[in-house]
Amino acid sequence: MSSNMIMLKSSDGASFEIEEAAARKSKIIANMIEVECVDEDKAIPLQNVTGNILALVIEYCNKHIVDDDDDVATEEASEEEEEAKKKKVDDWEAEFMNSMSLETMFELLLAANYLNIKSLIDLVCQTIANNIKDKTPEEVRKIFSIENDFTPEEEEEIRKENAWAFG
Amino acid sequence: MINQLPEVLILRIFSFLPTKTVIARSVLSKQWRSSWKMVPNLEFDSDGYKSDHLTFSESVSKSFLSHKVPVLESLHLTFRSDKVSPLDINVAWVGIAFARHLRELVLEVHPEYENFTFPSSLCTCNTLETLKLKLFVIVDSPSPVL
Repeated sequence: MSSNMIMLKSSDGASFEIEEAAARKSKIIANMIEVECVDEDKAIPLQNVTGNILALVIEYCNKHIVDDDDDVATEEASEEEEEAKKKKVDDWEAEFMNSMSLETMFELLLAANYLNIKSLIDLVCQTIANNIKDKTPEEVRKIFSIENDFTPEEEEEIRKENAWAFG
Repeated sequence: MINQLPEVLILRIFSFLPTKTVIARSVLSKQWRSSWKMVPNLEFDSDGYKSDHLTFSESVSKSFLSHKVPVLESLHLTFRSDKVSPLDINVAWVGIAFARHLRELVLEVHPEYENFTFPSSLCTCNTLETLKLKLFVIVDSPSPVL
């Protein structure tokens, strides 16, 4: 396993050291490493990600790189072991997302999208979806600061059109 | 805030919700009204379906017809109450599935319908990669099975 360390720099100037293997979770950074854009002494500037969000991204990547290594080491692990491990990751992810405000989730989602980390995009999208699933339209508008640009008549029309979906 | 997310991410969030919920979200704003039509997966469940003038299958057909996505990643249909019938899955649906390049079909039929026969014409949808049939489905497959 490579223990090369690389430096990442957030938009607000904070520097983070991260194992190359963990940083490779981001397709963008992996590509930079492939084409040797990464200078060992220089931090990679990430202009769209603030320090507090980058810290979360790194926490996620570090956690998941350990899991990937485990996969290689215990190729013949039993089904139960696999399941137990998966449960451990699921629990960790639930805890990780649980500690976050919606606002932070949005910023994390934008960062994951910018850095192209697919599994993190899916994790955040799934969590946001769970958050809006059982809310009324009014509540969802409020949470997401959506302006209702329908007249009451138009809104009524849409509700009638798809009445079954509002049951 | 969510309106500042690129549409591709909004659609990704929507794709984790049942289609019924996504359609109900069309009332939020004009932008959201048409967003659901581009969600690449559809999931309909007859459980708790209520409507005065349309059957479950009619509502699904209607949603299916107004959906606009060029490639439909997955379609998941669950029939579980005795008020709706999987027999309503008709030729029109097959045509739409073909036109939308359907890749995964999951069909779940609960015991009320002992003799539901899977429309064999769907087996020839050449974009279909995954077909999952759950519980009571009889397959009258064209021969030879590929």
